[in-house]
Amino acid sequence: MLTLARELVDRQRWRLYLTPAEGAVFELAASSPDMWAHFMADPDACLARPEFRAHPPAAPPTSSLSQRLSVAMRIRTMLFEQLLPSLFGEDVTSAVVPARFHTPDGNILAPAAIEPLPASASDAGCQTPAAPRPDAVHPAGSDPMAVEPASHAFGASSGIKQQATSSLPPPAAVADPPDPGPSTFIPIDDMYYSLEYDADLLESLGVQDGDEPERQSSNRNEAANAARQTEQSDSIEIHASLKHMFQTINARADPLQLKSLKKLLTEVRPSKSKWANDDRIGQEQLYEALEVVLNELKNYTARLEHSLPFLKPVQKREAPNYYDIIKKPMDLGTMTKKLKALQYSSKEEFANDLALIWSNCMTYNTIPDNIYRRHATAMKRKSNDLMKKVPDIVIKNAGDSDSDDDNESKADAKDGPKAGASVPDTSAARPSHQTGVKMVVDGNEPDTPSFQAGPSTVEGTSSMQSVVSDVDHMDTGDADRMDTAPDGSTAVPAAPKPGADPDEDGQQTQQQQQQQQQQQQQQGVHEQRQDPSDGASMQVRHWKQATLSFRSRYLRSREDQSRLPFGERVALIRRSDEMHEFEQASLAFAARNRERRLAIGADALIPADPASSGAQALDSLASAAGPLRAMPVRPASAQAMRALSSSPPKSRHIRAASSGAVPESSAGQISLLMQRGGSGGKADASAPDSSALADDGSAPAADDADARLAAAEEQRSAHLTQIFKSSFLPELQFFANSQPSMLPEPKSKPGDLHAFFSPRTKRPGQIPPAPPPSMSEYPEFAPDPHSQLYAHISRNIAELQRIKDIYYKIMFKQGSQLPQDYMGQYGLRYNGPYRPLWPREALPPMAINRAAAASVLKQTCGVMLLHNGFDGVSSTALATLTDLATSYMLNLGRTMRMHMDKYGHQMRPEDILLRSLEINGVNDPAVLDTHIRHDVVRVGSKLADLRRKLEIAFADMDQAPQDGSAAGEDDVEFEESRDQIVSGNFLQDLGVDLLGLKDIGIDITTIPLELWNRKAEKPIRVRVRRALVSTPAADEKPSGKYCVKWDLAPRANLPKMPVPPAWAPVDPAKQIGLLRPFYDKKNMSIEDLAK
Amino acid sequence: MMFVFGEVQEPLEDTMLLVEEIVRSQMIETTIQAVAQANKRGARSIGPEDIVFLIRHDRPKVNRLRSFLSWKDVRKNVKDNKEAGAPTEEDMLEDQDKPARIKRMKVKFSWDHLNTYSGVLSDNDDDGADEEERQAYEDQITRLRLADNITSSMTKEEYMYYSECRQASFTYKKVKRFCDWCEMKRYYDIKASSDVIDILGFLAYEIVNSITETALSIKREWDEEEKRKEIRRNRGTTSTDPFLFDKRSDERTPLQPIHIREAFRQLQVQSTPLGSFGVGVKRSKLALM
Repeated sequence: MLTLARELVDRQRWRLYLTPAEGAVFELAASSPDMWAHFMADPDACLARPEFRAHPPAAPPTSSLSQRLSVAMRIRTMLFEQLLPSLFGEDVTSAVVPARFHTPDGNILAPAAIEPLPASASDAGCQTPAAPRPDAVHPAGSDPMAVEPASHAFGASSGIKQQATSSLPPPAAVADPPDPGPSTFIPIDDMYYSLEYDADLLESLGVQDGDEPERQSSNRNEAANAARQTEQSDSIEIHASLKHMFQTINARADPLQLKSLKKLLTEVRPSKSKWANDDRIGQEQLYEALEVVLNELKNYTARLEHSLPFLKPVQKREAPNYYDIIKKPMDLGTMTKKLKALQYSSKEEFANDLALIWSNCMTYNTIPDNIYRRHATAMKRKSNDLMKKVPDIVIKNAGDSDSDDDNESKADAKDGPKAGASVPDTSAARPSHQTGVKMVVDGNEPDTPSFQAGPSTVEGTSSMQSVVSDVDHMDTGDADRMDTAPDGSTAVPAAPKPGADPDEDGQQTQQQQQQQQQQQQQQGVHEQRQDPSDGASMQVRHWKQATLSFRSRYLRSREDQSRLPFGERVALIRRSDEMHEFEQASLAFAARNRERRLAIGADALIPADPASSGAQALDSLASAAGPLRAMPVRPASAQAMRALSSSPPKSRHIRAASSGAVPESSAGQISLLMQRGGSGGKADASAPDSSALADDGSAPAADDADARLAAAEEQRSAHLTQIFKSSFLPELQFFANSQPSMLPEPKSKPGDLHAFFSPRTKRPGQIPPAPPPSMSEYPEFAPDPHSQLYAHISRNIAELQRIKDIYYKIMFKQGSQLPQDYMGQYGLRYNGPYRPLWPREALPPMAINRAAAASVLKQTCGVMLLHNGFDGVSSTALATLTDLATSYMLNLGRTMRMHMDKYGHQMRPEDILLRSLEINGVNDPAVLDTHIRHDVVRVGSKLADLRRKLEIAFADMDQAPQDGSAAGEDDVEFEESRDQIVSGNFLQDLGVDLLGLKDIGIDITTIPLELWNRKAEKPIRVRVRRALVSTPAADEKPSGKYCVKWDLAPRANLPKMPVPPAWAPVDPAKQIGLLRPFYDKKNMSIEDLAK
Repeated sequence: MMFVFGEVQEPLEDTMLLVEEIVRSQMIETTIQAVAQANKRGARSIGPEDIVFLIRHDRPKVNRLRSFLSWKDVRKNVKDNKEAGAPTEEDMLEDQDKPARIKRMKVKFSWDHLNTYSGVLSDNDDDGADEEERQAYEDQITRLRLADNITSSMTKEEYMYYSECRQASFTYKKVKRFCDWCEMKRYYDIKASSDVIDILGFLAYEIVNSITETALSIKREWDEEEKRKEIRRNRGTTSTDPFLFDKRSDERTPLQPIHIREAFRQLQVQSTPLGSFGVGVKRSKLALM
């Protein structure tokens, strides 16, 4: 008990239960064994002891008896809660285990560990790779809390306290972790996985235990094969389109609803063809197929017009003795008539008629070579092909039960042996195989939820066969027997079919239909089950596989629970420490998610596809993950300061863990996460504690990894510094309500902050440090609010994004293909400049080093790219661009430096600047201004216009498109008039000379008439005039807003460089003799030049 | 052509040869670079965009080029309509009723990323009033004004000559000669499309324009310089009274090759700021003017 108390003190867990004052009392009480004993024995008296009085917070002088007692009481309750797991058994979630009272003699079951329980039992089998486990099983709406048996007496608690067993084993140091998993390290991001997704999983797993994925998949495959083969026989899939809907309905609806739904669905057939008839069951299908066959045959005029002779009855004129020889004439026309008259009641009859046609022909035309025989053979062959596709339905009238059974049994007798044979059937038996596999009528089992209708697969081929044969036997009976199919005894396809009528009369054809539907559904289910695993990303698949057993176990337990009447189910009780842990987990989850997204996003502006950028994300995630592992709940600034000053080596360890570099710490991580995911109810540890544990376990091993990591981390953090400057991503909405006090997204600053962090001060009980703030927190890096240029740019970027949105909407509406990497509203968004979230005092002093500057520049380059319309840029491109910008600025600086050094006294500073700019490509400062005017401001207005037009176009898309050409004119005029009204220029079209040509000096009479009437010009001229008139700020001159007023004249007056010293001509006479000829030659040319 | 830009009526032979040579080398360079651009695209034939891409930094020129190209379209359409047989005036009058209008096609370049978004818009919405077009229009007006200034004091014959010269073009009706002259076959063996030829002709015109104007301004400067030096030299000695046989002070001397060379040098300034402070020899390429 004392140890427990000590633990609580050390870990500061008491904070969860007690007020600070009480906490102080508790700490005091736990400080020494005899104190503790005294406290236990008689709290009140203990509180009266002098030590307590001496300690001001512990015992306020005016504490009354009731206060003291309440303190004691609360401490006691806390201890009791801590001991619950030990008292009442470990695996509290699974079993409906009644409370095990401990006997007064105090045999407290040794608590395994109050701190993180090792992979609490349910998850022992789970092989999770070293990666964040989905702790989303929590939020999935499930109830992983501890189970508290209904009855536990308070007396037990007192009993406990008196029997302080000092033999409490110290909490297990570290959960012995399972094998970190396969060597192939597949990072699994946090997943949101609702148990509803598992409905089909449950069906597949059934009640059995620990199915291995392989076996399951093999079973599934087999079932799928079987289903697929039966599937092939269905040419008519009545409810094919509703397959998925049915599945979901079956998965989610409750039984009563299902029944009524099914009834409804049978009544409302989607494809009520002309053959639909409620009284004659199966007619629709059959007749449709037959009709198809007939039409095909009639149209079989491939090359030789085979069908022609058979279209109409043989005429006596053509063959006088025909009817003497052929007693039963038949032809396609007659068959059509019979079909329309609904005279066919089965496929057989139809087939017989067809065969009759061909045999008549063969009988009558005995000459082997006869053209008719050839036609007939061809037709016969074709008809055989076609008839294979017709379902073998015998039309039964409703209410015709006995004959059904006979028929059914006949059919079964025919097909029984076949069905009992190997599962994949040959095509001939395909229709009948459908009868072999039947559904479980769900509605007859009101107790069980529909999803439990029966697991579909069992292990092993043999069981599959036995299933088939089982069901076969069931088949011979009537549908009643199906009701009693024991759950889980047979592998029966999961979803009960909507077509299944609970009425047991189950006519054969109806059953057949149902079976068909069911087959479809089964296959659909199978497909669906396979589909997610195929289609989902590798991570999802991996996670699913890994967690399969856990999920199955968990779901099964839920099932068992739901079978009990409500009163007897295991109660779900929330406990404060679990809630705390939950909160921590969700914070961490949010943080991980966000930072991962940010890391991906900033790993420069890549549209985040988690699968594709997995490696990158992992990298940045690994580096980024550390400081964010655990977040304090209340980031009061004082706390933040304290947190800042505490160490991130813990975080580094965890970072190591997450990157998988150090197995032990990763193991610790696994254990942490696994408990969270696993038992849910039991783990008392909060994230920091377990991280401390992870530390403990991994401390030695991580030491050398540390140095490596520190180096790598520096690089990565430099890389990631400016990422979050502009909050590219929205906050995770999930946490918006629940945790209003989320920390901002910070990243470690390159290098500098580590000086602040003392290395490795392990203070395990402390709330983990807040992550260091990012550079955008500093107001120096924030964009100047008065800078209009930046405002323009941001506005342009926002406009551009809106334009893109509308554009893609239009494209989508038009049906054109969207580009693959378009992220839609989930993509990277530029939300404007970063809004700093930390007070200035909380930030460490700013120090700019090379890396910081580089990252600032990088961010600026990113903004420029955004401004120019790029959706994203690869990191190398951005890095290259940054490098170029850096070298340019350096060159500019060097030029200026050089000039200053040399001509500092001769040239004015402005001149030096101008000269340097000129050398470096900016011939004229007006160029900069022009650039800004054109490329920023005008682009802005262009963007606004474009957006407006796109919006109008989008809104107009639904309306009928106007006649383009005719409307063009009207548009022009309308626009003109509209703008005229706006600008007040009403008189445009009145007179000719209003075009203002006089101003230009053009004499009107010299302009040929043609030019006046050219429609093409008119718009531009008019509009230009209009624009000129209406926009007074025609921006001819550089407005002083964007640039310093250059009062220097243009280029011609640029400061002349000081003239270099004149070059004295060489006097050849004074040169050495060797060079004389050379200079002589030169002399001649010089003389020439001088002329 | 040079006369149009302000030269005297008969430029020197040397000057003309030099200008022609410069234009020729520029054309060759343009061809080579355009072929390279087309190769980057993966196409074998040069398109108008390839050439325009080379001069994309010179915004006014691009605008002028755009108006030039759209005029071409108009001209073509008018020709088609004319060939339908109706007389001109009626044509024009009918235009207002006919649904098929002569529309000036807006030339869009692919490096304007905003053009992708306006692609979904129907062209009806295309109410120019572009800043660009406005600017081009403005430039045009200015030039017209200048031309007006020049020609305002011309006699009738001079003016006729002037208007003839204005229509001078490198490529009008002499495509084959043009191609032979600038040796296109050596660098680009496919027959260039008419658009491309037109653009090249336009560019040649522009080159002559810029060279002449620059040379003229240089000449003016130098002449001023000379005059000032003279005055300084002969400070006291000359009388300000005009001589009867003095050279006409406003008579213009023709351009000398040296002016052209200086103009060429000035226009050929290629700044490679990233190249400075680097080591090694820098290869200087011919810049497209």
